[in-house]
Amino acid sequence: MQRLLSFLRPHWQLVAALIGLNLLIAVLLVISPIVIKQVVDEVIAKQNLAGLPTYLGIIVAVAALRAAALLGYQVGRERLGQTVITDIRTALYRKLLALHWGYYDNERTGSLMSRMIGDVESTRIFLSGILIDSVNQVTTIVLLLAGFAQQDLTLALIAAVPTCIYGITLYLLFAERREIQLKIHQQSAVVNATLQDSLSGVKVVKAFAQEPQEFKKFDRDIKLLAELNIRSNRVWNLRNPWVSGMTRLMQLTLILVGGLRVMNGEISLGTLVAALAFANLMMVPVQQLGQQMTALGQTASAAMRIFQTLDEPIAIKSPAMPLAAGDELRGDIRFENVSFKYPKTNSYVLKHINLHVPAGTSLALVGATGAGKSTLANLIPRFYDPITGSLKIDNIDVREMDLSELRRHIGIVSQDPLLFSASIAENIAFGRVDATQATIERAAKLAQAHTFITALPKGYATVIGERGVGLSGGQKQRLAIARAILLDPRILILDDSMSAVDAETERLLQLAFAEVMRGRSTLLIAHRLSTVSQADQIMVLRNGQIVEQGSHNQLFAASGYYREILEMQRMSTESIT
Amino acid sequence: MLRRFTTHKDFAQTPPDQVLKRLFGYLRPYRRRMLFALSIYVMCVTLTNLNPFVDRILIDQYIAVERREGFYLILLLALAMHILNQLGAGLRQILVGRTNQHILYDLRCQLFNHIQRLSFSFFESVPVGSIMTRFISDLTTLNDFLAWQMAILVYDVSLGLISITLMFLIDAHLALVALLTLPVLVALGVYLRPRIRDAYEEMREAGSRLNVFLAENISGMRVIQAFVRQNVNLSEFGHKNSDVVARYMHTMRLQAWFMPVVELTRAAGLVAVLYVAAQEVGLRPSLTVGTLVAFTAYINNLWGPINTITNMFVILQSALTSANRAFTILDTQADIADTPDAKALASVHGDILFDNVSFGYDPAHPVLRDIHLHIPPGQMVALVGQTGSGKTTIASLVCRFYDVTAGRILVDNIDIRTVQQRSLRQHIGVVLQDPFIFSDTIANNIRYARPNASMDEVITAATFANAHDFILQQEDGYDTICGERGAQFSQGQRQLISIARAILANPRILILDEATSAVDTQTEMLIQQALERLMQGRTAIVIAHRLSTIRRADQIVVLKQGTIAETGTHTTLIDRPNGYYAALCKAQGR
Ligand SMILES: Nc1ncnc2c1ncn2[C@@H]1O[C@H](COP(=O)(O)OP(=O)(O)OP(=O)(O)O)[C@@H](O)[C@H]1O
Ligand SMILES: Nc1ncnc2c1ncn2[C@@H]1O[C@H](COP(=O)(O)OP(=O)(O)OP(=O)(O)O)[C@@H](O)[C@H]1O
Ligand SMILES: [Mg+2]
Repeated sequence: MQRLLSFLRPHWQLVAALIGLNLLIAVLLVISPIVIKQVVDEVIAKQNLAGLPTYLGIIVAVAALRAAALLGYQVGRERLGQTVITDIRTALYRKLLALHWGYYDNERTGSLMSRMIGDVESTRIFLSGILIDSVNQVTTIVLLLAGFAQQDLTLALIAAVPTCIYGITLYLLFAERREIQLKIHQQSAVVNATLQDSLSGVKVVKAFAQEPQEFKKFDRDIKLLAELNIRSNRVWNLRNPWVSGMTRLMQLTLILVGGLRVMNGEISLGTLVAALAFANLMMVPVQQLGQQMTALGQTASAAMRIFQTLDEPIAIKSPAMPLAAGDELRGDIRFENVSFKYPKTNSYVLKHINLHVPAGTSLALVGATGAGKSTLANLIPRFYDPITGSLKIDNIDVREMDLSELRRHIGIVSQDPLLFSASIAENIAFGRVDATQATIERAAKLAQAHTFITALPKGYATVIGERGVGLSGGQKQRLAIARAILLDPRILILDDSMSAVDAETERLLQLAFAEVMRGRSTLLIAHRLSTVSQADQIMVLRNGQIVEQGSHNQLFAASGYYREILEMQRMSTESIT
Repeated sequence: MLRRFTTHKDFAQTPPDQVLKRLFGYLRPYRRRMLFALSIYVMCVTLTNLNPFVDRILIDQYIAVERREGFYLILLLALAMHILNQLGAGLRQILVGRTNQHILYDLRCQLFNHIQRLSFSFFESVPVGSIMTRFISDLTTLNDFLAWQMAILVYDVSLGLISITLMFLIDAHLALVALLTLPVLVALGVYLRPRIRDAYEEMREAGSRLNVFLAENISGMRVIQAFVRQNVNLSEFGHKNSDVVARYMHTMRLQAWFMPVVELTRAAGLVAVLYVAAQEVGLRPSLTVGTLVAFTAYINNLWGPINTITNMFVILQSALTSANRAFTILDTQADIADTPDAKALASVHGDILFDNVSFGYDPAHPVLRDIHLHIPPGQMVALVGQTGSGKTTIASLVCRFYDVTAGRILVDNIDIRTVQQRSLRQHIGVVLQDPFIFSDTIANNIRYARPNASMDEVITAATFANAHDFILQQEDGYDTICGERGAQFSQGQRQLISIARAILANPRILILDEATSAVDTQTEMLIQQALERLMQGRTAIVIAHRLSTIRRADQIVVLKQGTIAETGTHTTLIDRPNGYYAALCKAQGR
């Protein structure tokens, strides 16, 4: 809670101004019944009309002042709320931008989204609305009690006691509800994640006609959510009316005690009337306070989740004092006894990898599905860090380099090319926002994408959907290639980047790559050996270990896995030609 | 290329009373319960409003005249009234709360079901994040409204009405004076309402845009980091966020006018009453000090609700906007819907005929032209051709993910537009080019098409697809929960899982769209053999770039820019002079 309040600290002036306005609003509220009492006692009871205009003038002036204060207060409060959630949301988003890949392996978009939307919203409602409003309510109550005490101490005490009891009971009630609120929030996150999954997998859902099953899952989740909500509602409403009904009890007690005292001649009727007016005024803030307490439980759990995300350790980040790789990165890559396993798993995916790619040369990786090829490639831009051993670029351990600097020199075409809903040009220029149209087109031409792009009605300005919806598989892949080429990187990683293109396009791409790869260090992953055979070095990976290594000719001569695959592919190509 | 879902325009049109009426339509199944709650309401409101009345009697007839007998009795009566009131309040809230949860549940179900019925064109134009926002923000706003605000609204409106009635009963003259300023408020409301409504809609739109951006960013975070885009995206986020803030503040500034004006009118009413009362206090017998006290209480009683009602007015506007956004989706018609007389396709042989089919995602730009293709039952047909030539599109048409723009597609001589979509798809097993894995267990992913398949069947299918070995290596074997989209698998492994899924579906028609593109040669060979056995007696459409995998197809169809360039078997096509297929084979055999 304290930490939540710390978000208010940078805006303390605004907070102070709001509290000030609040006090003013509260004070002005108290003046009104005092004046009314004067009017009743002095003017009406005594039939003395002389003072009337003054009193009425005061009422109007107070109201006008109060109206102005209210206006300023409301606008200021909303401004504060928006500023604070902008801060929180930006902090969260920054954090998400910085978190390592491993984090995303275990998180679900749906639940992160509910954190960014729902939880942030609850904290806003609390910080800007509830917190300051309740300061308002408490001040109002205290001031009313003070004004009251000035009128008559006994009556004020009668009013104060139930108010205190009220506060304490509310607190207890809130504690009771907190647990269930937490459950409600968790369940909402589950609902969102389920929803996200069904929505993004809608193709599969429909293809297998499994809409009823998806609905069953969703139904199960939201039923539970509804039950939890009903339960929480019941817990609250079985008790709350008694608590908020306390104000009426207070009034009745006032009439009892005050009435007796009036009849005994201890106080004037006007005092009792004023006391009742005070009690009346007190009812509203006390009830509002009660309502606001209900949101407190939600905020507490929402804030907890926000902080959990903000506190998530970032496994991969730049060192405090990064070493610069000279003026220009050359792109000499060295794996020294690197072993790696994914977090939260037990078995090593890469075991004692030693390899060296001299600057400007190419290395091809081949091996069975799941052998660890992509994993090895992902270590170079530090998407993951090795568990043991070290990875050096230009003889500097990548962990000692500036992370962004390192990644800026690496162009990667990942196996599962992900495009964004933006224009084709923007997608190609993803890594260089300031790229010119000419550069974009050159990259597209090299990636054999220019022809199909210009054939589209809107050419490069064509907007594609989420994940590249609206393009064929091969088209997406070529855009991903263009996106990497455009970076003009020192190190190029091509992970199975021609799997979705036809033989003709593949041949053209290979020709283009021969040009692109010149002078760059290249890591090439492919299943079709025709692509691989040109590489300076070839390595065969099996179960995370390098089992064969050498040039095409050497490996061919060695008659191992490589030779076997080569024969297989040769046989099948011969069968078709 | 894509039809963008133009949301804002769609919303503004519906008149609020219709939205409200529709919203209340959801109350209908619960009307008995709601009527009961309402009667309790009436009781509570009456009791609450009798309070000042009782107080007045106590002051005027007992305290002021120092009459003690009966004083306690009336106090006791007041206490009893109070207890009854509180009991009623609790019961009412519970009833209303439960009903509202049920309504919300109904709405969620309905929305979900409806969305599932919509066709691909909808999902291609509406981002997932936007649909998520409907469920998260809009339904939550509605929930709040139904759960809390509506109760308060009804309560306050009746409180206000009863206050007014009582004021008139006590002293009609003073009541008129007190209410003199009310029209000002009404005028303000009339003036601000359309402005606030528009402001709300724009605000929601901006919020939705931000959410869409966030959702896409979260699921594409890996690429953002790989391309060091963090700063660019951060500033884009900043823009989108300030847009939301600006629109929000605009809305709030508009509605901030209500409270001060309410305050001023209240004071004006009070002043008027006091002024008139001071003039007339001796003249009329009904005008006692007690009356005046009651009156000031009523003015507070009245302006309290007026304050909340004006607040509510805003909240109502916001709820209406939310409801409207949900309803807009509910009103979106599926492009592809079953006709009322659509039959279920009970069993199929697997005869597929493309009868002069043309198709374009955007009708102005055809992707397929005059496709005429017959696939007899049990045949394996291979589709080859350049990327983007329309192979995947043909496969999607067989599943009726889209409807043809011209011509027709017949399965077993029945136009697929005349049968129920789901019954058609139940006979088709597809391995999509882009394999999708649900965040569920591996076993459930494999048995996706037949949720009640036994574990043995799952294992058989996985073994068939060569996935068994790597699945066993996972932490919990078949019970391992997959990460989002199968995050913890290699691309090839994802393909193997989706092949296993299609195998277990045991369909009459099998569609394999580049099913093994990311799989190594050895595994591919093994799967190839397995699939060949599997395809015996089934109709199969196979799309592949590695021509060796489709060499044995009964029919090879070569697509070129959306038309069929050549058809035949491998042997007839390979020797065709200047043939495209022959050229492709040569390119691959180099
Ligand atoms: N994020 C992850 N978390 C846990 N395990 C993972 C993760 N990513 C991959 N793995 C596992 O690591 C192993 C190696 O995967 P990798 O993606 O490197 O294979 P690959 O050689 O590229 O295969 P393919 O040819 O299919 O692309 C696989 O067994 C896979 O299940
Ligand atoms: N959802 C869509 N909306 C609009 N256009 C689309 C959509 N999907 C595909 N297209 C376009 O239709 C054409 C054919 O695409 P299709 O996916 O059928 O090609 P393909 O032959 O399967 O290619 P590949 O071998 O690359 O997978 C392409 O030009 C593509 O841009
Ligand atoms: Mg891989």
